[in-house]
Amino acid sequence: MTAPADSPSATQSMPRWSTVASDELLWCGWSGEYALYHRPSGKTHFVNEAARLLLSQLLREPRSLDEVVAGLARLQGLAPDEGLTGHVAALLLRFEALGLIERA
Amino acid sequence: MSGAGATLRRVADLTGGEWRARLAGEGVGVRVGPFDLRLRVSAGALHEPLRRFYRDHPLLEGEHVFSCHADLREVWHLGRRNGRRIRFSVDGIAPHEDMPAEHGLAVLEWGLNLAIAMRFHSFLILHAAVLERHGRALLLPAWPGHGKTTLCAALAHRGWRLFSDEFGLLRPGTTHMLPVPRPMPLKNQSIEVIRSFAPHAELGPVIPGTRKGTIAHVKPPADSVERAQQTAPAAWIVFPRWSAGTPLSLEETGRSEGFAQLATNAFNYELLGEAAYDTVRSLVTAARCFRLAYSDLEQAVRALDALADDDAG
Repeated sequence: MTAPADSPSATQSMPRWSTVASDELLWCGWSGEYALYHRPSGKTHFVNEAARLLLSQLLREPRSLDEVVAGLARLQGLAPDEGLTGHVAALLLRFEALGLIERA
Repeated sequence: MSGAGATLRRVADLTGGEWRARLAGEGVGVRVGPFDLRLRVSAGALHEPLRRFYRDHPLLEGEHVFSCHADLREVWHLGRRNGRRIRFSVDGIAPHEDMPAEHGLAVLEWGLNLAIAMRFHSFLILHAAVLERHGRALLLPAWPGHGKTTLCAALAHRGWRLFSDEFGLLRPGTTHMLPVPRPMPLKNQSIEVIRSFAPHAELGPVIPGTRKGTIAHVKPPADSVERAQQTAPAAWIVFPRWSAGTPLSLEETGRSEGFAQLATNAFNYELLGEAAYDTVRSLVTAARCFRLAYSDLEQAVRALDALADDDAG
């Protein structure tokens, strides 16, 4: 039997992500564009304001996709619709592959 | 070892006979910016052009520890590709196949470029021309084909002090550029462009048929060699792009764009890791960043002159 979507057990089964330790990331930026250095990999990534909000604010604590989408929508004055959800989902998978976030 | 306070002789202080004998024999030590090179060249036809190109450079005589030993020797190939070839090696290792002997000058300079780009990682090495005016450095980072060397050669003969047409060199943690003045290789139509633009420029022999087309080198101006130990802080980072018929445009860009372009133009950015990241961040914070599009060399030079003169107040 499948639990209702808003039940605690359903929520607990959703993946949650958080940013890696803050001392693993170095930031510099100008006018909403950022160069992010990831110490463990030695790679530099060029990201925008939305990515910075995700990595340095929203994902400081473990969050699910829905929670991240809601938070980003609030911070950037966007509609938390399917388009935004799809975009954020792709970002989360990409950041995870790059080692910038990890599953809680 | 040369004494730290000793005044060094110049290559021009050697007689022609001394130069040829040493270059073909034990080799000649030459200081090029932060690098102490020992050059050995057996191909006699190259001796006189090299003496002209390096005549203002300090001579390193006696016992010395060199940054690298560059050797260019004639070899003979028998078989399908008969004939005289030239073999370049650094510290005894030949990094590429032998080349046509008539390309010797170009092979030596390309070989020195390779040695610098591959070995000297105590520096952050940007793929950029660098020049100085009013005590401040202009960086021109650009990929091949964007007109960097032609623009650099033009500026170097119009009141800018040449640091390098190829390498923007700085120690990690600083924003001071280091001069590495060497002959500048012009390609194809650029040779006549510079002959017209700067008739007083000293050009070496024209070398046709190289892998990069026809090449002729421009001797670094004497002043740039004499002041090669004087660094300058980076003040302007200009990304040039020559394209036929393009109207002049010098547009200030964001620092984030400057960071991205500079990082991708560095030979050893990833190798140096966090030190490179910090250094590039410091560079784009300290310097103003621009995009330069042009087709008329005179207009481009005047625009950069005005940029430097205006900032100097």
